[in-house]
Amino acid sequence: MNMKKIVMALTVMTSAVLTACGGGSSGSFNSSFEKEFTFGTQTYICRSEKAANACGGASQDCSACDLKTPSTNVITAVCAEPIANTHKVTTAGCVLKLTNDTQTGICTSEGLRLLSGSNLTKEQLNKGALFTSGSLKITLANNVTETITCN
Amino acid sequence: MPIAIGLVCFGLGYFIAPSNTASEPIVIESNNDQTGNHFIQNFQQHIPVQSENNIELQQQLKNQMTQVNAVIDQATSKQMDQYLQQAFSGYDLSAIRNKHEFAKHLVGEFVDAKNKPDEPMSGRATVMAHQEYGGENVLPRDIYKGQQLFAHFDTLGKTPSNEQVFVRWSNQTTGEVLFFMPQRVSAQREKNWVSFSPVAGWKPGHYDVKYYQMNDQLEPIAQTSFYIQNVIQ
Repeated sequence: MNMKKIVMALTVMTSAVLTACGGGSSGSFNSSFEKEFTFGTQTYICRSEKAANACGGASQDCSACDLKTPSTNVITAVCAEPIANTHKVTTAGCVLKLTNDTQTGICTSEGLRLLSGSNLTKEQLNKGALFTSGSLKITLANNVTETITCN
Repeated sequence: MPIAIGLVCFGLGYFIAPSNTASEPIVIESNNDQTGNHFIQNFQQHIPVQSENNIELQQQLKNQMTQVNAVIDQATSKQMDQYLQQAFSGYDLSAIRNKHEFAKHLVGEFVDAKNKPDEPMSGRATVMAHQEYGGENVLPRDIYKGQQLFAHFDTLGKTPSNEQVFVRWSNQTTGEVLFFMPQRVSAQREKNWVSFSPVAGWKPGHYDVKYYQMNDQLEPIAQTSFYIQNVIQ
């Protein structure tokens, strides 16, 4: 096949593959693009691209961003357990009394963030683990599953 | 889509084009949308873009690098701009002067997706379980299946500040590319990060991360490797 024909086919195929590529996702990702937003008297610092996109988007969801003047409010509310072994985390943050330990969680536009311990502020939770799916299942030794979820 | 980079598409185009025309001669008129659409619809279903096929695709491309590079050379500047804009829509590619050169480096880094320990790097990188740099720098050996891992990097002030970097996450054991895309970072800082978790979740094993500048040569900034001993399901 001559090169001209290959290139021609390539043009079409490239579009095809790219179209196909756009249909799925290989994983979840984010990056440290930082941006500030001011709404009224509140200024938010969004420390990731997804957080910035959510805060600057139509919904103005700045839940994953920090206030420029950080709050010192400690998260003390206990997460609800509407079903046995299913703990519902809130956007304000709450404390999870799990079988094996105590964790503090918060739900933001980035997902579910968890950090071991209590008496923590929202800002301190940035040191926690992030689950972009918004939920986590922990299987205990007795095969019982504990679910921590934003939904 | 993160995993299937635009330039892989060059390779795919190369492979698919000759294999198809051998069995069914098709006259492609580049200015005929209907023909193009028909052609696309015919083959879209056969195009392997799932992650489990990535390693096979990488191997195929590796075996055909001369031809792939020839195809890149044959593409016009306009075509190249179009491919890259489609592949990396939303990213600013204006700093890339020689897009053919860039394309070849992209394919090269895609097919050989293991870090080279001896390759000189101007900066440094480390993978952590959390977004904040510092403190406990050691990645826990036990990782939750769906947990985001953060690859922090520090340019040490040795690379020009840029709001975009290119990053590659790969499985060191298999050589499979997991993620290979430009990402937006904060240009005014030397320390930044890109986080990632595979759609199928982490598996125990060794992994590589490598950062590149968004320039013609795709110059490396930093690289690191990490090990996941146990995955908490």
